[in-house]
Amino acid sequence: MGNFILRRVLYMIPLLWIVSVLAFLLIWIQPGDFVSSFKLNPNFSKAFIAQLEKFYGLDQPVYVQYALWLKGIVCCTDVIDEKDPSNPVAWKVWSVDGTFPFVHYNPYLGYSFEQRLPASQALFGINGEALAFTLIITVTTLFFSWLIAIPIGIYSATHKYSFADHFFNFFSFLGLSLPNFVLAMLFLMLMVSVLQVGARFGLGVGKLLDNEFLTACWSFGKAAAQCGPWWDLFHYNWPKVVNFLWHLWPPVLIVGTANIASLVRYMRGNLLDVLGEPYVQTARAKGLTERIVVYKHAVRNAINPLISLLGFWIPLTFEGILVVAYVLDLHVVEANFWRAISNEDQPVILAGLLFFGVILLLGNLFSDILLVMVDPKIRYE
Amino acid sequence: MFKGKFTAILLAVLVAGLGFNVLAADCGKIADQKDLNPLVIKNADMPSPDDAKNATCGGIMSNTLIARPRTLNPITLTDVPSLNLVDRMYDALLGGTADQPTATGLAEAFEVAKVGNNGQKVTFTIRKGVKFANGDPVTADDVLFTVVNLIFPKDIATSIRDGYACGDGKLPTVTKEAANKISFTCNVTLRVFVATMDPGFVLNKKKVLELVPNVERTPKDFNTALGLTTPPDKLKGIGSGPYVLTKIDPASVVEFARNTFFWEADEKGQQLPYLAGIRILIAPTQGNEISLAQFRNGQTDWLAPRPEDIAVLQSDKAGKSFQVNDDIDSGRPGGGTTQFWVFSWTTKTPALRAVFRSKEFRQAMSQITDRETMRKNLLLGLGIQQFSHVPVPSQFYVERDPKAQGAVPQDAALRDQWEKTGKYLYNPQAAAALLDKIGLTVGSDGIRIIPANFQGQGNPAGKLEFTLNTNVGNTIREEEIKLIASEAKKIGVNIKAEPKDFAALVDQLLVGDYEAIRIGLAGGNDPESGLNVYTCEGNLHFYNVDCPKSPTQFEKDLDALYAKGVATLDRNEAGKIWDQVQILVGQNQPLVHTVLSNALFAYRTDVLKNHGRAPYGNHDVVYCANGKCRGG
Repeated sequence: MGNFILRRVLYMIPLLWIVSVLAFLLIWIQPGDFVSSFKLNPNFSKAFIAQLEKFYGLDQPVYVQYALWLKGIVCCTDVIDEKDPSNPVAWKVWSVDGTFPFVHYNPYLGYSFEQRLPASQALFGINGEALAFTLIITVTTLFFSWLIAIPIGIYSATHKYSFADHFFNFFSFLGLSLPNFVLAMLFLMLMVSVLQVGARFGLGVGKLLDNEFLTACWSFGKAAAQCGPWWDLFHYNWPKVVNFLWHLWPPVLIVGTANIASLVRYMRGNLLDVLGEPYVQTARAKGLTERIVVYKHAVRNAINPLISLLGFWIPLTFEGILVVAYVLDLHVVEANFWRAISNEDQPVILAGLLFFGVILLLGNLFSDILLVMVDPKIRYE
Repeated sequence: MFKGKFTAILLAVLVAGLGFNVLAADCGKIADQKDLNPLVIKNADMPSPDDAKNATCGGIMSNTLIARPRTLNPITLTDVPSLNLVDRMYDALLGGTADQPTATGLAEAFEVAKVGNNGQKVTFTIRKGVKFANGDPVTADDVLFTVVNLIFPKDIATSIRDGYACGDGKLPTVTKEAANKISFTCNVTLRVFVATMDPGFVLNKKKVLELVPNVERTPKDFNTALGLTTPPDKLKGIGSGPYVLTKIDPASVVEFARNTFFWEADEKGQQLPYLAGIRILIAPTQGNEISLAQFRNGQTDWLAPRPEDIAVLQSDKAGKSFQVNDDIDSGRPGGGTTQFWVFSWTTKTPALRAVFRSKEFRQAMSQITDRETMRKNLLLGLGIQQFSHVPVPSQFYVERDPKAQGAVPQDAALRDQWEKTGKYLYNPQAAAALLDKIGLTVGSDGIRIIPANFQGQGNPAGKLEFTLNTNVGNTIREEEIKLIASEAKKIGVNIKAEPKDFAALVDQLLVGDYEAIRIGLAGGNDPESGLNVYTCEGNLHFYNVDCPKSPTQFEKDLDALYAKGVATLDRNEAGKIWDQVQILVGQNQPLVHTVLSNALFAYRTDVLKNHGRAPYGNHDVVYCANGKCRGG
C-alpha cells in the first residue's frame, strides 16, 4: 500500500506541473498584468513602473516569468517592501522553514496589488485562517453528507417503493432542486425571524464567529494579551471553538443537503442495479442472510462508482461553499477566490487555480486509495 | 455638539452606499490629564441632552460596513469606507461648519487678520496640553509637517490639497509662529477661508517618520504608506482622535479602543469617549442582506437600512423582538451626498472613448435614467430625483427656493436657463432621436454603431456596448444599473450591468480604467466640496484623468468658473456663479445623476444613547445604556 501511495504521489508531480503551466498560461494570455494599473496611474513614475517590471520579471519572456513564479512556490523568492517602493530593498523569502515543531510550507505565489498583500495571504487569509476554515467546512461537509446519504440510499434501495423510500425520494428531489443560496437565505430568515436565536440565546448569524471572537486568540500565550500557537490544545480558547462550531453547522448543513440529495439518488440507483445481478441471486440461493447479501456483496460493489467520484465531489463541495460564503459572509478561500476573479486580481486567481488543482488531485488520490481498500477486485501492484 | 472634521469631508470622497465583555466602567477624569485645556461639552450641546445626563461608560458599539476599506492613510484616502476607519483615529483643528467654524477641535482659538488688499491670515492656537494617543504632545511642528510634507507635495495623491488653494490658485504660506501657534496666509482670500485652512487630520510627525523615514525626501513613498496591513501597534499615537486602532482584518473586522489621552470631557468632568471601543464588521459581498440580518439578530447596534428594510424592522418591533426607533425614515436626503453614473473619457476602447467624450451622448444617457421609477420602486418613495452636482441641502443648490427666509437670492434668468438646458428629464424617445442626430445609428442587430472618426475624434468604428459596474452588495445600486441597462437596450445601447467589489471599483475609477460606473460622492454641502472632482487638477477628476494634459473646453470653462466661485466673498454674488457652474455641469453631464435616498437610520433605542441621527458622526459622545452594547 505504501508503494502504491508513493507511486501515486509521484504521478501527481507531472500532473501538478501541467496544471501550473496551464494556469499560468491562462492568466498570461489575458490582456494586462498588475503593472498595467500602475501605468494608468499618474502618481507612479515610468521609472518606478519599469523598476517594478524588472523586479517581478515582467519584462522577461513568458517562460522566465513562469520559472520565477515556480521558483517562489518550490523554493524561495526575492520580494520588495511595498511601503518603500521607490527604494525597493529585496530580501529572500523561503517557501519552507522548519520552525519547531512543524515544517512550514509557505509558498510565495506572487503579490496582490489589488489587496496590497502576498497572493497567498489574499487567498488563504492573513494568518491562513481562510484556508483552515475551508478545509474544516469541506471535510465536515463530506463526512456529514456521506454518513447520512449512504445509509439512506441503502435503505431506499432495499425498501423500494415503501413510504420511507417515497419520503426520502421527495426530500432528495427537493434538496437537488433548491439552490444553495436559497437555502442560505431561508436559513437566515429561520434563525433571525422565526427562532430569534440572537434575542433568545445570544447566538450570532453570518460569518464563522460571533463579534467578540473575531479577533480573539485560538489559544492563549504565556504573556497576557499574547496568542499562543494554534496547536497548543492545553491553552485553547474553548469558548471561541464552541462558537465556531455554532457557525460551522449552517454551511455544512446547507452544502451537505445538496450533496446528500445527489448521493442518495446515486446510491439508491447503483444498489438497485446491483441487487438485480445474478451473483446476488446466487448468494441468496446459497442461503446467506439478507444482511450479508446486501452489505457484504451488494453494497461493496454499488458504492465503488461513488468512491471513484469522490475526487469530483470535493470541487463540487467547494463550489457549494462559495455560494454559501457569499450569502453568509464566510471568510473562506472560495470567497477570496471569487473576489479575485471579480476584481481581475491575476496573482490571486493564479494561486487559486493552482490550489484547486492540488485539491482535485489530492481528492482523486484519496478516492483511489479508498477504492483499493473497498473493492476486492482492485489491487495495487 | 459642533465638533466635526469638515475639512476632511469638505472635499468629496467615494461612497459605497454607505473576547470583549465590557461592563460599565469609569471613563477617567479629565482633570487627571495634567495641564490640559479640555474641550468641555455641556449637556445642552450634546446630540440628545436628556440622554446626556445619564451617560455611562463602557461597551463596544458595533455596526456593519458593506464595503471593504482600501487604506488607513488619512491623507490619500478617497473612499468613505476608509474614512469611516481613520476618522476615529484623527482630529482636525476646528469644528463647526464651513461657514461657521468653531475652536472646538485641536485648536483652542483662531484669529483672522487682513493681509494686503485681498489677503487673509488665520492663526490657530493649539489646545494647551493636547496629546496624541501615545502621549506625545500635539505641536505646531506636527501641523506644519502634516501640511507641508504630507499634503502640499504634488507627488502625494491627496484630495485635501485640492481644497487648500487660495483665491489665486496658489497654496497658502504656512508659518510656525510659536510652539503652539501656526498660521496660514493667502494673498487672495476665499469665501470659506478659515475652514479651508484646516488640514482636517493632524498626524504625529515622529510616528510618521518612524513608518516612512524618507517621506521628507521622497514624498511619493507616502502614497503607499499606512496600508491596511500596517500593524495597529505601529499606528498607535499617529493621531489624536477619540479611538485607537487595536485590531484589523480587512476581510472581516476592525476594532478600536478608546484613546486614554483624549482631550474632550462632559460637564461632569468625565473624559470622553464614553464607549470602551468600536467594532466594525466588514461584509463586502451580500452587505445589505447580512448587515440587516445581523442587526435584527442583535449583533450590531445600528444600521443604515434600505427603504425596503423599514417594514421588516417595524414588524420586528411590533412582534416585540427588539426596540427600534420610530423615526427610521425621518431623515432628509443625505447632506453632502450625490449619486450618479459616470463614463471614463479615457477608457481603453477608442470607439467608446470617442462616444463617452460626446456631451450629446451623455445627455441622452441622462434621458434614459428613469429617476422616478428608481425613486418609487427602489427607494420606495423615500428619496428625491437628482439633477445637480451640488447637494440638495446646500444653500447654493440651483433648485433652491430663493424666497425662503435667509436663502441665497437667485437670478430668474439663470433658473430658467437651468430648467431649459441643464436638466435632462427621463425621455427615451428624445434620447433615441439625439443619438440618431449625432450619427449613432442602429445596426442590423439592433445595437447602435459608433462610426469611425466620430465627431472628428479619429476613432475606429465600433458597437455602442459597454459595461456598467457598481459596488456589489449594495442591492439598490445593483437594481439601478439593471434598470439603466434595460432602458438603454430599448434605444439600441447594449449595457452589461456588473457589480464589483467596491475597493477594486475605486482603484479603477482613480486611474480611468473603466467604461461606466454607478457610484456616489460624499463631502460638504457647499460647491467648494466638488473642487477635487470637477476641477481639472482635482485628485478625483475621475471622468477624464487626462485632463491635466489635455483639458476639453468644457473643463477649461468649468475651472475658470470654479476659481471665480471660491474667491467670491459676497454670498449673493457667489450664488450667481455657483448657479452658472451647475448649469454648465448640467449641460455637459460629466456625471449623470440618479436619485438620492433619504438619510435612513435604525438603532436599538434600549441600547444606544446620545447620538442624534448620526452615531458615526457623534462617536465621541454616543454611549451604551448601562455600559453594555449589543456588540460586547
